[in-house]
Amino acid sequence: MELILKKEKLKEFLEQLSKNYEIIAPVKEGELINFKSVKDFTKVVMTYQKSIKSPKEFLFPQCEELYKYKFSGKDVEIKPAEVEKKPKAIVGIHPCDAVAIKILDKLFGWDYKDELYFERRNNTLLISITCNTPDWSCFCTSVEGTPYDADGTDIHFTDTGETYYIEGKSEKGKQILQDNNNLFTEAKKEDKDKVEKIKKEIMEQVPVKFDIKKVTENMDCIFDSKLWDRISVKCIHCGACAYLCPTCHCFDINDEGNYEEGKRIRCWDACMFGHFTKMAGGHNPREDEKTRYRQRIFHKFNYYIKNFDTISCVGCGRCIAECPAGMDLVKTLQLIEKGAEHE
Amino acid sequence: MEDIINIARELIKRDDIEAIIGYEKGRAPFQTVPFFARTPEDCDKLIMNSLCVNNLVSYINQFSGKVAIFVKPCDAKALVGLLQEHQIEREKLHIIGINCQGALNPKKLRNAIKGRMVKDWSINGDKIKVYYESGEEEFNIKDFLLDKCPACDTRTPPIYDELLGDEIKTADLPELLARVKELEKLPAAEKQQYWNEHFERCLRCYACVKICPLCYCERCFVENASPQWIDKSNNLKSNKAFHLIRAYHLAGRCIDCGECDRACPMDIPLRELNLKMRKSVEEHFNYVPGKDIDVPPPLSTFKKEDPQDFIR
Repeated sequence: MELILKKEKLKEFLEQLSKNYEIIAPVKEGELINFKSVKDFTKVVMTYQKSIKSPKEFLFPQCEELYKYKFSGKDVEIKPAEVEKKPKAIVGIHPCDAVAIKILDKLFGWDYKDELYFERRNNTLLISITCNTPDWSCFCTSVEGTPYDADGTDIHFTDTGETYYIEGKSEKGKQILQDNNNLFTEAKKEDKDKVEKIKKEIMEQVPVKFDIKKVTENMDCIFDSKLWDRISVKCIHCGACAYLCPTCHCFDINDEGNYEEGKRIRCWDACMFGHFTKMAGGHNPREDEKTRYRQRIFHKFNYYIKNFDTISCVGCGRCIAECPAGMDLVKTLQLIEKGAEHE
Repeated sequence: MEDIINIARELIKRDDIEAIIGYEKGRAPFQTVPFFARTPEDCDKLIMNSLCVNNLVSYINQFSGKVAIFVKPCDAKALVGLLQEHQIEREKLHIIGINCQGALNPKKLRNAIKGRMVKDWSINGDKIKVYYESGEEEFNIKDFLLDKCPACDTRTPPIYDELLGDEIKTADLPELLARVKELEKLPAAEKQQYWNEHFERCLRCYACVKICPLCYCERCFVENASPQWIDKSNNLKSNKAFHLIRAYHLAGRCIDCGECDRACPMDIPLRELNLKMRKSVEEHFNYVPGKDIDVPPPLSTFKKEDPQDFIR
């Protein structure tokens, strides 16, 4: 199902969609592009270079309540958290960030099926858009992705200049397009050709930077390499990379409250923080930058494959573009590709 | 550039020097990254130009032995602070001072090239030249300076063992605290709203803390779980508490290298907070941090004749 939407009709389409969905879309905040809950659809920026954060927080919020507790005498009353009921539509998600959601699904549906995550997930519509403005830090093509193929989304847009070329992906997506068919026209062969040309042009802008097969093969024999000492020195162990990453998912569980009542919450945590692995007794198995940085790379390019048969990186490049210390994941993976003997 | 490499190559030959802390070219257009040269061959990678923005002094204590370090005035000011607070041993350092006429904002430059693929770039005098796949473009350096630079009165490092070039004096600078004074004039409610909007975006990634050369507490108050000073959740209340406590902790110590501003992925104007503290300290104690190693920092100095009438 391929359709054409005139750009000036986007607002109308989103208005129709907003009858059933809360619209989450990229908007400009100062110099940043950020996914926000939007009511004024003229503010939506469909064609953008890179949102500062990925929209993962709408499925897995940075902090969320698990339950509330209240003591009365010797009893304790527990009230489980409720997820907001109104379905959400994440509009304008880039293919890398959409693929990241599939990667998160595996983790949250693993040995324990995370109810809060899946309640949101099953209640969220994904409308992706071809990323036609990749930047220097992008490397989706090196991790088996593309800037235009958003597998697992419901509807996919491609900006062709004057119009959006729209593909219905899932049954749910196709139905939505059907219900609003007065807004669209049928795509013609020349539209399709134009999109193919755009795809080809964008692919050239994101050249493959390393052979991911070679990288993942080499991971197993690189754990003790001196390479980690060298490349981790620059790292200042902040959490910018992890918090901006669309696939990072580590969290910590805490209580916030007083003697009478409070709530149990979970918040994002980051393996680059020194206290991430610090134990109650004071021992810290990952005390230095080297072991922490190595953990981050191993988690993404080794352990995740062993657990879920996929790497946990989509090549969005945020960790590279935003690292204040200039750590460069692509350079690290290129070194690993060469193997430990080149350290 | 050759100067830098020659100096480094001579220094690394010395038995007592473990590494040379400087910069190398990054992969991104206009990016330089911290670099640690350990061999004469490494030294050839060293660069120094107005795109060298990271404050390098935080890396000194990564090394157990003596290091040589290239310092711009911002790094040197931080070094003064750290030496005054006994965080670094002076004997462990060989300091090569680099004059600075202002550093460039790499992100601003990247925005200016509008996503075009850059092959290379070079700096000549007050111009930066960008070479694209086809064609080239020239930009004026003064349009791309970091916010901290135009009003900076320290163009020569306040501390060094050897200085490249001659000391630079400044004159006719714009007012450093102009923005702070502007913000001070806002009604309280507007000020509150201004900061709330910024703090609401905070991710609590602590990039500001970790990049700050003067933030060296072994255990930051935000990491403390018992007692837990601020919530783990990144709600406005805790975010605000975090930034205000941090600003207070840097009062009289922040040397305005602006690294927090640069590091913040969410564009929170943290420098404005720190400048406000700088203004207060200057007004009350006539002291500006990082200028002179022999002037003791007022907030960590006790004098018998200090005023005490505020203690009741």
